[in-house]
Amino acid sequence: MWNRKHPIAPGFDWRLKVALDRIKPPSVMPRYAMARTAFTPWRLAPIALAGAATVLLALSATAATGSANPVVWSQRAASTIEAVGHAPETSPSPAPSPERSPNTVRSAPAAAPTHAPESKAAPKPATTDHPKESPRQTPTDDHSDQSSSKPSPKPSPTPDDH
Amino acid sequence: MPDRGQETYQPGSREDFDRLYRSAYPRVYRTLAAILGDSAEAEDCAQDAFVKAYQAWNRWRPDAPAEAWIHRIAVNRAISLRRSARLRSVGELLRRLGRPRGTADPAHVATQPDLLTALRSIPPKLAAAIVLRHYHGYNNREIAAALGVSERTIGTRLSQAAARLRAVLEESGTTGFSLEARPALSSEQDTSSHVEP
Repeated sequence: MWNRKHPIAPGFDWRLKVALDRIKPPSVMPRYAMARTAFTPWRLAPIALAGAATVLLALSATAATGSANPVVWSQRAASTIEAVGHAPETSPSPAPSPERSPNTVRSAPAAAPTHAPESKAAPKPATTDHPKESPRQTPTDDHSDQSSSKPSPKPSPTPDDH
Repeated sequence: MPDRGQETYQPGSREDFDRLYRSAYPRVYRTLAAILGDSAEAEDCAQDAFVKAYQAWNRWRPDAPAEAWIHRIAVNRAISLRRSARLRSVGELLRRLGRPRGTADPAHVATQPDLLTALRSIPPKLAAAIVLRHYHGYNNREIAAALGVSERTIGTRLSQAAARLRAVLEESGTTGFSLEARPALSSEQDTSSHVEP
């Protein structure tokens, strides 16, 4: 039977209040607070990391190529990769002198990757051969330039002078 | 009328949201416990509601009471939870067809108050209207604002909920109480909203 004053049952409100007041909400850390502390840094970290990596890559590429054009970077990267791919073929070239260590032979083509076919001829000139030739050249140079040769006391006593 | 947290809050302010949580969480939790009938589910649902509310805290407009806004989020979440639980129970029922009918856990029956069991047995929208009205003391307009429906709908829901609850309580023989009952409706809309069939 519908009752305006007690629409459900007599004492319904009181009983509902007693039943619900008996329920004690657990005192836990609010989940939104944990989400607040955990979400923000972890959401921004990958973006910041990716941005930093991109900037670093662009700076190093600009420094290496001397150009700010990404097309130049890609060309340079392609040529470098190509040169590294060819490096094992050029390394077994014979050393021109026994004094040269294997490390110097391998590093020579890597230093000039664009001239890989010429790398066999490249080790020949100048640096290591120069010490062998220097004892022979010094006497001949003595005739032309006295000031540059150190063993100056030797040639001074000539038979013509006496 | 109980305190409904009619305080002023600044949208987007973390301190204000913390204050809102402290004042509204126990009441929202009890509402959900009445609707869901399970303390763990009520806690989970209340926490979810506050997470969602916090994410939308910048967009909250102070023209509506903050606690009613939280209640709206929480009740909607509870309704979807009850719906999925009902689907699960239908699946279990289909699996158990042909087997002997299981009995309820005696410990659960002993600790579960009859009134909350009755509330659990009616649709969550009706249960929410009953709890907001008869426990929190909201009037029809406030319930309508909290649940996002018209006042007329709230009137209909309240009368439907009362009829169904009365039937359930009469079945279980718990309608009679020894204490003098207080008037169930506390606002000026005492009679007008409940005249509807």
